[in-house]
Amino acid sequence: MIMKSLFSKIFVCFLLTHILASLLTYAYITATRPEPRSVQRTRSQNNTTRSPYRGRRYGPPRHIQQKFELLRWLGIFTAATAVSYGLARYLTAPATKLRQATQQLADGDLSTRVAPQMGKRRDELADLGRDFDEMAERIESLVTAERRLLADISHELRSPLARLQVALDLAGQTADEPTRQYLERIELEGERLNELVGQLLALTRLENSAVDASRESIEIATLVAEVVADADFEAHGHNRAVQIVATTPGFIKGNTTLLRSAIENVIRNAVRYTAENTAVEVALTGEGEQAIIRIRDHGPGVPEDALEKLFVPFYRVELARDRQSGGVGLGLSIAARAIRFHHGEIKAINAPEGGLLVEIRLPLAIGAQQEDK
Amino acid sequence: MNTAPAVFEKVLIIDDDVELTELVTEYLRREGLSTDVAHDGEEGVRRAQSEQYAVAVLDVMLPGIGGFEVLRRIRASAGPTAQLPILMLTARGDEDDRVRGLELGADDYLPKPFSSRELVARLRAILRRSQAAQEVSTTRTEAIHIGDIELQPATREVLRRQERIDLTSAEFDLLALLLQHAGEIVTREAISKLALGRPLVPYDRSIDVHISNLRRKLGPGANGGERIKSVRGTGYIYVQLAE
Repeated sequence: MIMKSLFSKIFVCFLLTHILASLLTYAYITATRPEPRSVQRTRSQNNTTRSPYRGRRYGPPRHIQQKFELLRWLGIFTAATAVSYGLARYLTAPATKLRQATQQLADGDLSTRVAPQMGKRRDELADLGRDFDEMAERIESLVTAERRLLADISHELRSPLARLQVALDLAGQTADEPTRQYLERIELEGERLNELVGQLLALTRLENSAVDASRESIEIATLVAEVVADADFEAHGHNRAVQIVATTPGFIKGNTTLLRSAIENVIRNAVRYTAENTAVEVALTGEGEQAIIRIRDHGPGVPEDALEKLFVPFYRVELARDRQSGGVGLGLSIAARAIRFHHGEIKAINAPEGGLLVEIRLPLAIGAQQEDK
Repeated sequence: MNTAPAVFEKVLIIDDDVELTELVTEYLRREGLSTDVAHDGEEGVRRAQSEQYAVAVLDVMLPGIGGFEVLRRIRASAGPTAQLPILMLTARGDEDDRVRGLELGADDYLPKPFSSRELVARLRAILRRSQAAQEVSTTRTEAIHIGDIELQPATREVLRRQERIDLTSAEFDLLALLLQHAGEIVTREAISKLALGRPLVPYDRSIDVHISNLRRKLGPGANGGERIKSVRGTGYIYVQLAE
């Protein structure tokens, strides 16, 4: 455990080197000392016999000498520890900083740089830091460019779609019945493009806002009830329903818009696949420090090997069925990102009685209740 | 072409997409609505302030000063043009834009791209509301007093302890509805139909935003409690405080 960090390794290395060096020096001194000492002694004995300092010449008495020796060793050890500690810190500090920076970068803070923390240092580690900064710079510009491109494309697609829609409405006013059918088809396809563009935008926005989105206290039961009421309203038009089968109060720290869109996407996906005249069941329960939302449909379920891929953008289980149901394959990946932003987990399993069960786990906020008046 | 009554109401469209505004103008003309078009924000504000329009359609994405700034400037202007009903066109899927627009005092929003039928329906709902408001001001004039709040239908004014509170027309209608039914639950469907003039649409948060605006503007009730309570999944209730 203690040898796991680079710092402790270097520290122990230095310390052992110091002690070893001291021991060797000591051994060398003790091995070579008697010679000059005896010479000195004979000289002094010759020059000043019975000197008043005679007793002192041989140092303090034996037991005091031992104590002195011990103190000296303690001093050497303390100094060695201090110097080793300092050296080890000096050498490994940039590594720690680099590690922190790497983690920050991995967490999505692409503006992380280490140069300001490196100071005037000029060695391999400082070079590594500069290389890291260059790499971070490049990643940041690439990712930003990609996101901007996606957002721009989506926005630019919107304008022609808006014109297409109005032009279709104008044409529809004077069209005869067969033409009208084709126009309706065009409108439907336009609507699909539109939905895709909207979801792409939602996805890029989610990634861009992941770092700076505001966090407020959200009453989860109310949020779920609202989304279920909306989804039920919509599902009734397709002879399907959405029901709450369990609920429990609780607060979650997060962004209402993001969380709402996550739950909404999962429920709408369930409505899409549940069989006609069945209800999607939504259960909100608490378990320890977590709120658990289980959304279950009465549909065909998903092959086991595809369960994990459901949250990958544009993944489709069955092309034909998905197209028929009008999905574009982004809803669940938007949900997954929003849930992860709230430090939650999302997973899909096939319910034992059939149908897909999506489970969302979110950490409950403690002490946020006072906002509910 | 259709059975819509030919009411000539001037609509101001503020959108930089020239081709789109041409198409919309044509569609609205067939529906019996005449339009003026402004292609940038500054011009939009100028027109909105200089002339009397029945309603304005305002795009969020505008070059120069954005749609939100246009909305703010119109709302901040002096005189009756500050009350101009405004329908915001927002990017679809951008909930924050909608909420922001409604918070800044837009009367309604429509995600772009929109169906022209929906646009006309929303415009008519807003026009109906402002006409009804004018009729109310000539026919029914008795004020509603509840607690420290006084609502004057004649002048469309709301007073709290004799102090005037600025409300948008949608907020005023919503509050009037809640006050008329104070102490009773008013369902979201009823609010949508009676206050916003259109049927309830799923995943539409406009009512909640209008309510939270009202709460903020009215402030806490007499004993510090909320004036408007939400009834989960059903609707809202104006709490009649014991006096």
